[in-house]
Amino acid sequence: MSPIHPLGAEQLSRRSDPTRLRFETTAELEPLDRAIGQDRALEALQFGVSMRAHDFHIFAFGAAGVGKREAVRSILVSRAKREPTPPDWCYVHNFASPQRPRCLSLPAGRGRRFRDDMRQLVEELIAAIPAALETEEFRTRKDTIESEAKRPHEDALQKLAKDAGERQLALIRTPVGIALAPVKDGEVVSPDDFEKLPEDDKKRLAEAMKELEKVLESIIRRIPEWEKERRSKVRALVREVTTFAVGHLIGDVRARFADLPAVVAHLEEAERDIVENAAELIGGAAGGPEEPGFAGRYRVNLLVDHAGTEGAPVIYEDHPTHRNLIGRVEHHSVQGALLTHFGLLRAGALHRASGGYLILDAVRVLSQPFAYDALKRALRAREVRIESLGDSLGLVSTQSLEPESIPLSVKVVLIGDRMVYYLLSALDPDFGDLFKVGADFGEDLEWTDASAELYARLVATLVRQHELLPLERDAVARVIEHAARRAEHSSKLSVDLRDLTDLLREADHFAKETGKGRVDRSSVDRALEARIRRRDRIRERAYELIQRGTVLIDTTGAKVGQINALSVIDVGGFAFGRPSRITARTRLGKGQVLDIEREVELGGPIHSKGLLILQSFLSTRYAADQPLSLSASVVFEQSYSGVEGDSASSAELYALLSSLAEVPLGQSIAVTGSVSQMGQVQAIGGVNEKIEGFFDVCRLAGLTGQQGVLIPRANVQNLMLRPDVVAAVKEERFRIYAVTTVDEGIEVLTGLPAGERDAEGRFPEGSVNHRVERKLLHFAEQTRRFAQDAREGRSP
Amino acid sequence: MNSTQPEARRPRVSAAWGVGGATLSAVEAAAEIAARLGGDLEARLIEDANLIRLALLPIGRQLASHTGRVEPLEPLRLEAELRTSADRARQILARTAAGRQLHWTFTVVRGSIERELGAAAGVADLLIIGRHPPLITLAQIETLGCSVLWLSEGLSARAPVALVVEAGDRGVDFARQTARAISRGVVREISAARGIAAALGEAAGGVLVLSANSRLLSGEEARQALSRGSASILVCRPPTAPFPEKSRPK
Repeated sequence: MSPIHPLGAEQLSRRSDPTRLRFETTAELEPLDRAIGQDRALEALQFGVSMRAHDFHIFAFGAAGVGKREAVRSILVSRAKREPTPPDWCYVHNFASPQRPRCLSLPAGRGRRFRDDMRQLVEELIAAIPAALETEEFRTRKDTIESEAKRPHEDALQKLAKDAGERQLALIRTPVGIALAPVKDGEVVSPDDFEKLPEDDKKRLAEAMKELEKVLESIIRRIPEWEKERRSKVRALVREVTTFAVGHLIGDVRARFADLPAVVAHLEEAERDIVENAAELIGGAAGGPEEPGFAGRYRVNLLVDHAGTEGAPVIYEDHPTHRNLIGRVEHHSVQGALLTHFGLLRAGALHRASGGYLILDAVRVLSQPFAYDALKRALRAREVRIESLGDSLGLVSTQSLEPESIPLSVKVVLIGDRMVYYLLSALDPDFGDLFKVGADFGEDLEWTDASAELYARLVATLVRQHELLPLERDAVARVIEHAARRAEHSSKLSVDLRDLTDLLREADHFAKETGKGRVDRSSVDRALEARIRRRDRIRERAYELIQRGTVLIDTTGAKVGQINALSVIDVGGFAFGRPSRITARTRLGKGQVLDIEREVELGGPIHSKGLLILQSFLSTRYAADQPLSLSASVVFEQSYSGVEGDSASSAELYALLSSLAEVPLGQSIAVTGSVSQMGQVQAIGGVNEKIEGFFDVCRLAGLTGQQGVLIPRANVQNLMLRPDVVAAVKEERFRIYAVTTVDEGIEVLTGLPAGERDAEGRFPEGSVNHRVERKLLHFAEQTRRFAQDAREGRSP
Repeated sequence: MNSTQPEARRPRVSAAWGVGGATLSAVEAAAEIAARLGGDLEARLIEDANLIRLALLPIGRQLASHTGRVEPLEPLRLEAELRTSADRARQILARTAAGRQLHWTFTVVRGSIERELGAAAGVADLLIIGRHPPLITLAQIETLGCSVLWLSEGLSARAPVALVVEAGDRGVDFARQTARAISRGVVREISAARGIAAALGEAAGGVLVLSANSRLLSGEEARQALSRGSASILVCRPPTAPFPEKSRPK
């Protein structure tokens, strides 16, 4: 096996060459009109918005900060401008069924006119109807009706009075009615005189009274009938006069909306209702929006007003609650009771977006009770029905409404991260039926000269958007290098716009603080350093513990069964690498590698999987034809929290091999990488942070020139290391080895050959593999001996 | 002040009504008109002596309007109902007068209606009598010595006032003055020559003002027509002293 050489400094980080950027400052660059590196997502979005089918809604997903919302909005706004403006929607009183307000659709902008016309109409009616009912002509006719209505009653009473008079009786008014009384000389007979009357006369008077009382009774009984007739005639008169008075007022409004049959039909119903209820209309105040009075029933609740909308609407609902999505029924309190009417219906985002586009944050929709269900129901039914959540759940029993639903034609774009998209796809059967278009936003793009130019234009665009100082070419180059570091790849650039924007704003701040008119490279560097400085207290504390010897990490010397592994700690968005000591102990046993982390439930499943893989590697490489008579234990020393991931599995294997071979491992080399059953070292994440973490610990202890990190070769492409690390490598004060196999790694760590099997299948004497195999054979032999002794009854 | 002219004084307005029917609305309207005239109101509720006597008879019965049934007319119950009517009338009067700064008195009298009306007319410049139920006929009104407003139900504040004018009628000036005083709107003057029907038409729902000397009051036929109409009838008779200008409504 050829010796493994450390990587050259040029392999550790890709620099952006400012001379390849063809501008002096970003002020010279044209802004971008579309998101870069998102061609797939943009194509999906374009497809989704152009598909007019009702169930081709869109889910735009990707990591936070990659510009999903801006890209979606940009595409939608651009397309919406070319599309027709949808109609206005109004709710009006339903004269046939007041609990079910009717909805009316009017061309965009005419809803407002309709509302204003009806408001004015009501005001005019309240003045015009009383005026019509106070004309002398009306009163003359009404009085004629009144007096004619009284005539039968009065005539009947007059005739009765006459008949009574002829029989010595008179009609007398009592507090509650009418009485018949015997009279003599115009006065009622006194009790004494009555007593003196002959019995025949008394009997005659009593019979006459009884007879006339029957007539009187029939007259009085007919009074309600005459009253009814009178009321009916007066009502008919009022109706006739009101019809005349309101006819031309409503006619004016009707003429303005003659092209809208539904509006005309409503006006005709309103006219009939006004005529029927003129007394209530003029008796009740016009009222306000909360308490509209009787006149409020003729008003118009303009639910969706597109008077100021150009093209189709693009609505972003920031707080997608159930009520904010599908609208709500408000109530007002009247003497403790909650009342409502159609004027208190309020539009939701779906109403406002109908005929256009609605952008929603998926997590926010999902986290609001019943909002997602309501959204799906509306999209499936293609209509929005305003429904109070309390009512639909039967939680409240206040007066409520069942407004007519409004047809819905909308393209919904949900925005969220990948996990949400995949979970919804997997768990919600409706999701796939409605959100058929997934727009997958990537996190990075290939770093080429062309993409670097585009990236520079992206920087220029953001600088303009946020009114920042222009960046010099050098500064842009530094920003590009940072983007590659964010992408964790030397040939990719991160498109995390949130991070990029923040960096530009921070660099602008530092440039302005030092009185510069442009952002130079040093301002970007300072912004990056300050950002780390603000967040690295935990890292500093972790390194201090190592430096003080509280956490035991050797960076020099060599130890059997002990190695430095590397892990990444991510705290509040700041990630840093930290070395951890792994130790392995081996002895005769039953073929088990004990994962102590797992035993105490500190090891995650992936970590445990790594241990099982290396157990398999050991048994197949060294004990393929005999029992693996090994008992080994592996532990992360001084680890008091969970361990997850398999990036330490190669380190664990090296520690085991060292223990078995009884060969010391160099403590100046930290290791990262996962391992396969075949002994291949595989790529891991966070390679830059891990290397830098060990570098920082070594620097604090003193760089010896022997220290370094062993990484999987597959991770070389991910290297975008800090300039100080690159400089140390260049000056041979630090080393980075990239390996493909465990054998390569063990050679770096032990300085001994790993050893390859010869034609007879034997490892070379003295090689690490030979020592391991010899130890395992020894364990197997011991096991056999113990087993034989046991069978023959001998004590071991 | 011209010493030949009688001294101006506040008009004396009396209002009289019996029990039952639409008397309470008449009380309210009387108070309103008295206030418009700037006069003092003497209101009297006349309890018909005949009614009291009937209640004492063994055959005394009444037909209740609200049930349409015949029931005994019991003296104690009648007294209670009369007291209730009086209390209610007093309350309405007090409420109406309070808002109009009207000086008023209220009396309940028991006796003959004709006699009590005559007594009220004797001390009043204007006597207001409710038409429903009728206490008196138009012919009887002409015999009273003061102006009489025969008040219909439902006289509104904005009711029209029509004044019948005829040549040579010496009372027309006073009738005009009174018509203006009780009217808040325009007083429409119409010639007596147009006849009774035209006059009633102009005053429909409001007040028809006639001088006591008007020929429209002469003859049974004219009286019948006026009695059948719905307008209130004001029969004007000049008082011994004119009403002061300041007493007119503003």
